[in-house]
This record gives sequence, C-alpha cells and structure tokens, in this order.
Amino acid sequence: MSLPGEPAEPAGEDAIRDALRACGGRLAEGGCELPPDDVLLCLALRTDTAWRLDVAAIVLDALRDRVALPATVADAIRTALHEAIVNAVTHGNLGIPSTLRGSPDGLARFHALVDVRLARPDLLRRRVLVAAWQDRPGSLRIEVSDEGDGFTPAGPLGTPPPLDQPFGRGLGLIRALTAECIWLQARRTLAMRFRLDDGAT
Amino acid sequence: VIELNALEYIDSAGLGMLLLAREAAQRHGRGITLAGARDQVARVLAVSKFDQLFLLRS
Repeated sequence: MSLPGEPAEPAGEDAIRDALRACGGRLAEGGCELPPDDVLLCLALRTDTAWRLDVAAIVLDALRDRVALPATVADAIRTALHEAIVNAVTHGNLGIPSTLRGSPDGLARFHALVDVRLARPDLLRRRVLVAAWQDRPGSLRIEVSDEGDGFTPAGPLGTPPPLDQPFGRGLGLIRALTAECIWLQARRTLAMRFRLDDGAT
Repeated sequence: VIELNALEYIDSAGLGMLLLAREAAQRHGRGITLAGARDQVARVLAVSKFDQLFLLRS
C-alpha cells in the first residue's frame, strides 16, 4: 500500500497482459489518466514500468489476438514500437539526450542517468501511452505519447543520421519500418501506421 | 567476426554497440564481419544498410 503522494505499486506484466487480453483491451496504471475509448488496445504506463518491461512484445502479443499479422509485419511493429517507447521514456519523460550513446563511456553514463532519473517520483509518474487503432482496412495505426518537456526530434522526422553514427538511430529505424510516421508535437505523440500485408514495410 | 546466429532480436541500441565495436576495430586497422544474422536481426541490419559498413556473411 502506498502513502499519500507516493506512487502506487507498479503494474506487473501478468496484470498488463490480462488487461489487454480482456474485451476492452485497456489498462491505465495507477496514477495515470484513462486513455481514449475508440481504440483496439490502449495502455497507459508509468515511466518506470515502461522502462522495466518489454512493452512492445506485450502489446504485440495482444494485437495478435485481435489482428492477423504476417511475421514480417509483426517484426516491424515490435521493433518500431520498442524504439518509440524507449524514445518516449528516455528522451521524452526522462529528458536524456541520445548523444550520450556515442561512446562506450557515454553509454555507461546514459544508463546511470536513467537510473538516477527513474529514482525521482516526479519523473517516474510521467506516463507513456500506447494506443492502437484499426481505423482503415489493411492497416494499423499505433501511437506512442510521452509527458516530457525537454527534447523533441531534431529536424524533419526520419531524416537518417550518418550511416555509421552509433546514436540517434531509433527514429530512422521507425521510419524505415512504417508505412507512415508523424511526430505530433502538440500531443507529444509519435503516430505510426503499418500496412498489414506481407512486405508492407 | 561477430556471430549473430543465436541473436533473436536487435534494436537501435544494439546497432549502436556494433558501430562502437566497428570504430574500435578501425582504430586498430581491422574490420568486423557480422555472421549468421537471421529473421528480425537480418531485416534490421538490412534496413539500416549495415552491408555498407560491415562484411555480412550468412
């Protein structure tokens, strides 16, 4: 039981999987607002939970219960969704720049900084929202939103970094794996669309 | 040679680590071969155009 002002107990993987498998396909972790109604699936998680669990794999399994996904499409969804969630957690809610990942020492500092910032109640309470819609025949829309205030994608979305740059590759990977990918700054949301036919990405 | 046959999944952080290893090898005048990538790993290496940076071997 949590004290007033303290974060509630974080959700476990089994509880999240059960909630997504249920008819409504939604879960809002303690302290998070309820997600919109018209979704195929919707998950609002605290930042620490989104970092701790393989949320992309969990969401993909729940999507597969509802939509037939060829293997290559499922791979693309898992990979792009994972990148979007990691970006929402680290660059969005925790405000850590990707440039730290440009060297082995920087990589160690990056992960140390994640641990430090996840220890701050104000940051770990920020939510990551994942929602999926089947709003057009033959495609799936998935959005990932964060509640950060620091970092936004620099330059046009999907502009690839230099081929050998060891950091900042997530958005380029998402762009390559989606049929459409848009950053909506007002809602701090990355909107991705996946075609469901094989070889769509 | 980095054997990837047992690797089932890779993300951009993993790609970054391979690129850091490539930088370290280049400082010693060496290159890196990535061998045995399959399924998701092979697809991510392909869309990331790693064939232009590494020797890829099946």
